[in-house]
Amino acid sequence: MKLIDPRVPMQLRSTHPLTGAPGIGYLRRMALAIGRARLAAAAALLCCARIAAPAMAAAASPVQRIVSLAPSVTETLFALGAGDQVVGVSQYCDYPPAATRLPRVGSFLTPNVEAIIGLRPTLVIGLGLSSDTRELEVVRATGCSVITVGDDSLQAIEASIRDIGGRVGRADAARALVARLDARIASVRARVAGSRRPRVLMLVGHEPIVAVGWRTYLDDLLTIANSENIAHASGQQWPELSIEYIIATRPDVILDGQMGTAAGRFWNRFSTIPAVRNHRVYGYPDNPILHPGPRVGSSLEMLAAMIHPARFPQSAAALHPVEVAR
Amino acid sequence: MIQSGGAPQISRVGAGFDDLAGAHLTRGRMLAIVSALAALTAAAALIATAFGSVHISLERALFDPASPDHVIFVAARLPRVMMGIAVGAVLASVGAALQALVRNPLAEGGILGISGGSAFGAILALVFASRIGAGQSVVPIFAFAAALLSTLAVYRIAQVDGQLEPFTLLLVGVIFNAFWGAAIMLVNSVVNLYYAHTILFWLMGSLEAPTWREVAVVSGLGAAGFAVLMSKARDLNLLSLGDETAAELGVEINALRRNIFIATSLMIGAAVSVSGIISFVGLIVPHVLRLAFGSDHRLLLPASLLGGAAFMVLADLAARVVIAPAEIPVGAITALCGGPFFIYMLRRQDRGALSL
Repeated sequence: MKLIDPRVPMQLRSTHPLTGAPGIGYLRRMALAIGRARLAAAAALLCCARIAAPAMAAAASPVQRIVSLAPSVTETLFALGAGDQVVGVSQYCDYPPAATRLPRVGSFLTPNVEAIIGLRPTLVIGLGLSSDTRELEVVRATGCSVITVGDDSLQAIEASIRDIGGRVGRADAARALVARLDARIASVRARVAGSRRPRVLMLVGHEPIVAVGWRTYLDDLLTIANSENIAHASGQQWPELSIEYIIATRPDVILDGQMGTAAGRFWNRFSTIPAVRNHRVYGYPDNPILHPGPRVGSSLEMLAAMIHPARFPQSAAALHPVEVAR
Repeated sequence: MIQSGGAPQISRVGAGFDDLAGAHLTRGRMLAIVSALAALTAAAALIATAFGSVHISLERALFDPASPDHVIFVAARLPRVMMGIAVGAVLASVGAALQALVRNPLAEGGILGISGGSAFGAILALVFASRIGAGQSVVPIFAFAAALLSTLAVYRIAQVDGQLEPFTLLLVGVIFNAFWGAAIMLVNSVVNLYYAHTILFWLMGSLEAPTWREVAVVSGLGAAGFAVLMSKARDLNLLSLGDETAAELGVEINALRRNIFIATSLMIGAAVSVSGIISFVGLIVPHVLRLAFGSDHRLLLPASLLGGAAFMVLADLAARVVIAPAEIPVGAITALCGGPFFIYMLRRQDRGALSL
């Protein structure tokens, strides 16, 4: 069961709120019920939308009115120079600054159908992983194109850049962006080549301890940065790891999403962990690291610098080692 | 159930009274049962200390302070087992006391909305108090205050014409549960990703990575609250005869309720502030023990304390090892056991066969 995906808001990955019964998506079902109630209203709005936007069906035209349902999609659109075609974004879209001024239409899990249709989009782009297909079907029924893209791996991120580029008339820009990304990846590979391969633990949460597992784009980045992700053994994408396992596996480097003294207090109890002993516990900024979009190249460079600081001397000053109090 | 006063219940209460009068509870029997349960708890704790998500060498754990085995043993496994003992003991003894106090066999911190209120208080403290620099130490205080407020509110609202109707109480508790759940979701929707994870942790209930300081706080507050409960064990026995009879026998009902509510809120607040909402332990354990050993609270309270500790430690062992190296929230395991058990108890109560 994929209980915790750091990109998934709490409301839709939880269980019964108080008994803690591990129901599959208790709240998700509630959200679906609310969604269904909204369908009728959306259907009514649909007719108005058709009248208001006669040019809406012109999906073949390269210039679109685009609604993005995920931060990574929004970033990709702006990076491809299609930012001026974006008319609506998700509530989590916080980059680039220009995107924050656009109308919000909910998220990829709770898209607000009425808000989307009200923007008269010709193209809606969501995430394939968890998009609420029921709601997207309603949007599709208005004649608007709806596509979803993946973000579970570096390959999927590059494919989604190419897909999006093709849909918005920026195929060349997409090819160039992917080429630049590949070049940055190759440069990181070259820098870390031949280095010792440290064991790494990357956390996205403390209470509970949630780690980056396998088959995630972050795991791809850790691999490219020539490190061994100790959370592989769990076989999960976002495992809730046991602290005993972490102590026993002796990670050389810990990448901790939480910065500052609380993280330090947490780790100083476990002084035999090499990362703790050698002051190799680093805080990382969730933006851009947790955004699987076109900035994944800079994310990779940041992570690689934390894992192999000697190979990235110019970045070493920018690291945030967590103070482990004694 | 007892207040509705059908003939079968009265005879049942009468049967219970023989128990309370001490006909069955001799000092020797009590000692034997409590020692047996203490041995069971010690065995459970030993097993839980011996096993975990990784294998450790006991020799290195004890004699080599520089080894990871030692750190796993002293900084991770031992405090966690101790915390399991403390939290399980608190939840089960609170359940036993509340069931007697409100004369409802389905009463329990979680079901009466106390844990929900407590979790809401803890989350508020965590998210907002840390912003004004108050730090983590206020979390148990907020958890206790919110637990107490929630308990008093549920108790007041459930009273109809001065009488406490068992099913009204259950309904009010369920409503409060839903209300606190919604309040927590509201907080969750305005906080950042990091707190969202923590809130999930609180809702699911987990004993993950406690510090020795937290173990000391929960054990200390739990012991203080339990001392209050034990001092009222006789009054709780008499309460099962009904408010009026108990009052005639010299029980100061209002003072008793006040004391028990404060003690149980303190205990639940302490447990919830470190472990989140772990449900059904307070329901299963006292019921099994009541069926086995009768409903004299001088025995039932210490028996629940020990039985709850043993049950929680074993449930947490399962949480740690089933999908190791990943973990399952222990609240999920207790709820998996507790859900079917709750329905079973409800069915039994329908047939009027449940004794308190």
